[in-house]
Amino acid sequence: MSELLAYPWFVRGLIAALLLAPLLGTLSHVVVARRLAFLSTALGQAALTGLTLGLALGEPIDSPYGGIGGFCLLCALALVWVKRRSTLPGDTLIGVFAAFTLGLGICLLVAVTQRFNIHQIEAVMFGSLLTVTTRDLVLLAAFGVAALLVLARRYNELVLDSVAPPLARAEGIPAARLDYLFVVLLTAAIVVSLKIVGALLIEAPTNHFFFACGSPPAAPPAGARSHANAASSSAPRPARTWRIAPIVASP
Amino acid sequence: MPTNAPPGLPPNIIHGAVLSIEQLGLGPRTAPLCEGFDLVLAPGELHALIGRNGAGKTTLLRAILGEVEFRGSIRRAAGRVGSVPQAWRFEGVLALTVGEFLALARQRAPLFLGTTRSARAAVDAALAAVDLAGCERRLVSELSGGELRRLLLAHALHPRPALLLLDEPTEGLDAAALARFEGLLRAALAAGSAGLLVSHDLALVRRLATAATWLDGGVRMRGAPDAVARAFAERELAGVDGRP
Repeated sequence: MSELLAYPWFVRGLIAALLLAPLLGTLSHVVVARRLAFLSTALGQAALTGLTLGLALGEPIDSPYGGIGGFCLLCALALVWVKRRSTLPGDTLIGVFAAFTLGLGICLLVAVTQRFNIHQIEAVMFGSLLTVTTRDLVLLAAFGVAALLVLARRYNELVLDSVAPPLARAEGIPAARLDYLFVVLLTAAIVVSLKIVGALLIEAPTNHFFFACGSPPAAPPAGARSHANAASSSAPRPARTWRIAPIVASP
Repeated sequence: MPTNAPPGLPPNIIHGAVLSIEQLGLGPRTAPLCEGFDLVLAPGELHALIGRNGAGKTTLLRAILGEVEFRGSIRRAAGRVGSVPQAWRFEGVLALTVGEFLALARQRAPLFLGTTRSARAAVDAALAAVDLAGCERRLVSELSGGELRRLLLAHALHPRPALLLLDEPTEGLDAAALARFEGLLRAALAAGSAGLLVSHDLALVRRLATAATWLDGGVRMRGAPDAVARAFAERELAGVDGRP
């Protein structure tokens, strides 16, 4: 293991994974609670379209953040705008968006691959932990800190609005503002982690990260005194639930 | 249109009122659920809304919360709103405990850092008031229908709200919980809260409400709870089971 740490590409990859884990872990269960899992999938597909759009407009293939970020953000904001004004179920609308963006992306891909090596595009589509640059790490760290600060400030409102919308309205929590804020955060998280995770695989960490690392603990950590941890020992849990376990002991 | 606004009060100005509704219209203009609804709710008042299914009672409460579009004007005085929605089931995507659920609206620190001491004290007080003390570590998804109703009442009544919106709040409550709820509601009203109560339990309306409105495509009748409830019951039961 210590030999591996001598390789800069390995250290950068390790740091990238350590930066991504808390960011996507904090976002992913809110994604599921807000029923936006399908949106993450659609945004991954929109990222492919954004990538090809960016390349077609002359963006360098080693840092395609502008095209991906711009198109994903446009799609996410448009989707929330339509969803808030439509009586159709959210997944129906997302399905329409996903089909449109994927179709457009594939059409553009055909045009773009005439100018680029397909393997270069594959690297962006499937990501690589080993090609992370210092610039990517700085971007990831800066966004991660900013996103976690925003999430910490709005976390309780996001969760209450997700599990009990009528009570959130009574508490004066602004649903529209939270909807837009969260999809902007989600889009930005997808963009900064895309090069590492890949456009086509981004839905996995943003939707299901908690199945891998956040599943309910079998027993509470020793010494924990909060309601949450104490509750872990008392009752069996539903199989597919996310536990909000405090990361520090309550006062 | 009858209104409970004090005589001489300009219709568009709240004078100490907790809630002021003017010329409210709900539903599409071509087939409105309710049109021209006025109401001024002062501290200490509990106004009951009764009517058949689909008369617009729940929609009216949702309009006050800004959940549905409406015509006219609804203005609330500053202060907390406590709400008990009619049909709300906790979907167990997140394994929230009862204590965590109540803490969401009672602390600024993000819940993933744990429950703060002050929020825990507020949660304990709220749960004790509805006889759910000791349940703070249970999962919300494991509560029975009646317990969930009591949890919603705990959330609505603590800390004391300026305005209470109660939509079938006693559905699923046992006799002891019902008596406790009535005591809590009376205490809140005595302390200055005002409320709107939607209920099909006419006996409850008679016991608790200070005024009542019978909704039927608009205001069919407004006045003392006894009189409104009696008129509604007579109208509704006419023709049922061979009654005249």
